[in-house]
Amino acid sequence: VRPEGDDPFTAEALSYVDGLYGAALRLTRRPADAEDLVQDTYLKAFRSSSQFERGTNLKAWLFTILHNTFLNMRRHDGRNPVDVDSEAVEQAADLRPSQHTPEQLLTRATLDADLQAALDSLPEAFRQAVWLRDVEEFSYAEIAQMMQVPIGTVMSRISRGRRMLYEKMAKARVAG
Amino acid sequence: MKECREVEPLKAPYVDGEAGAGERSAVDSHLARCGRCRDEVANERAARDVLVARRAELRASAPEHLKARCAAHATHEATAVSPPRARDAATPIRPPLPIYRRWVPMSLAATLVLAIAGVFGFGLTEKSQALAFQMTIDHVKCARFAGPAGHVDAGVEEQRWAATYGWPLRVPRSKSEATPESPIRLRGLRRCVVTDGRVAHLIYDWDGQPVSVYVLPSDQLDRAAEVERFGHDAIMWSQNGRTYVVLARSNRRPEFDPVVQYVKANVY
Repeated sequence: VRPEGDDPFTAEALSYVDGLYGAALRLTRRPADAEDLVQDTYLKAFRSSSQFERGTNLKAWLFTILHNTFLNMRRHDGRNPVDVDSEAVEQAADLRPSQHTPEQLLTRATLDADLQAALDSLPEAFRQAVWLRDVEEFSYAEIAQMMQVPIGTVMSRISRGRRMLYEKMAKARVAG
Repeated sequence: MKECREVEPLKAPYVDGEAGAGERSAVDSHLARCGRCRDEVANERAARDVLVARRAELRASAPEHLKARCAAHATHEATAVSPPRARDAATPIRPPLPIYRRWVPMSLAATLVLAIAGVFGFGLTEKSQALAFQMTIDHVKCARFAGPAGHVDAGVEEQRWAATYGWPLRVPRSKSEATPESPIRLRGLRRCVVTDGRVAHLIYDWDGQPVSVYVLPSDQLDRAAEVERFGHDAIMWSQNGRTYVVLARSNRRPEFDPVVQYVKANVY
């Protein structure tokens, strides 16, 4: 048995488990499904380690596998994420500017639960783009490769996703 | 002067401080005369600032048992496949193929045969036939993905299952070394992906040969059934609000009976 510490690929790959789990939680919104998704991701990654080009971004490679694995899970569920995205784009276009100032929003967002709930309420494609950018700090190009969409689409989803998040939190402030 | 739709894709890099000088100037110029876009950029920036400020708290910590399982996959693969080799630097990153397209040739061939035979060989009109077909596919696939061939504790797995999936499951006990009284060793418990996660899949080792026990949380069968298909025996029955399927290759059919009896005696 090859010890984990003797293999830089394995050691580095396992160091991203928290990030992958966080992204999986945002995608699936269920801890049990997120765990399955992360396990499947690592299983595929270790089986396909020879396909990874050393010296390139292992974290981005793992997140790409995670994204593809999630899409496969979704297909098994019989849902089509493209349809969801199209609908969400229309909804996003109808958003009206909030009456709350950004400073008020920042004050409100001190509660993790509010922020998590607002994030989880975003349509999937926007939620993922915003999460990968603002929490996992990936570049637009890396996200575009992961999600297999043009870079302009990524930028648009990030922008719209952030604005939707703002509106969600603003509404939560009114409700609260 | 750019229009709103032309500015839209520039807003994210503008807010992130990654827009080029020309783009930034164009956006500034547009925002100076467009109150709606100005509000949108302000809102986007506020949301981004919140996320960045809360980044550390938002990043989840994976459960320890998940970390252990992922590490176990690495150890298992290290013993099962050749070490990774470096690729030509000019070769782009290519994510692995979906899991069901990457089975080793024997598994792939077997599964394709199963799938084709399942569709054209018989109509899957009876529930027992459908169960046998579906479970055999899963068994052929998962026997190779069952993780390290070690022994896991049935009690621990029972507790984990109930806590994770919300319905209790009785896992037949096994010892680290098989005995005549306890002929199978528990290798793992997982959700059966083929059945959309509603079925528990217990994977046992029986003299170096995989045996699967599937448990459905409902009565599915009016009577017990034995289905032999594609070189595998599936023995199934429903009792006490559960449906059980015990499955293994058919090459040792007479010796398989005691295994099935052991499972039957220990799942209630």
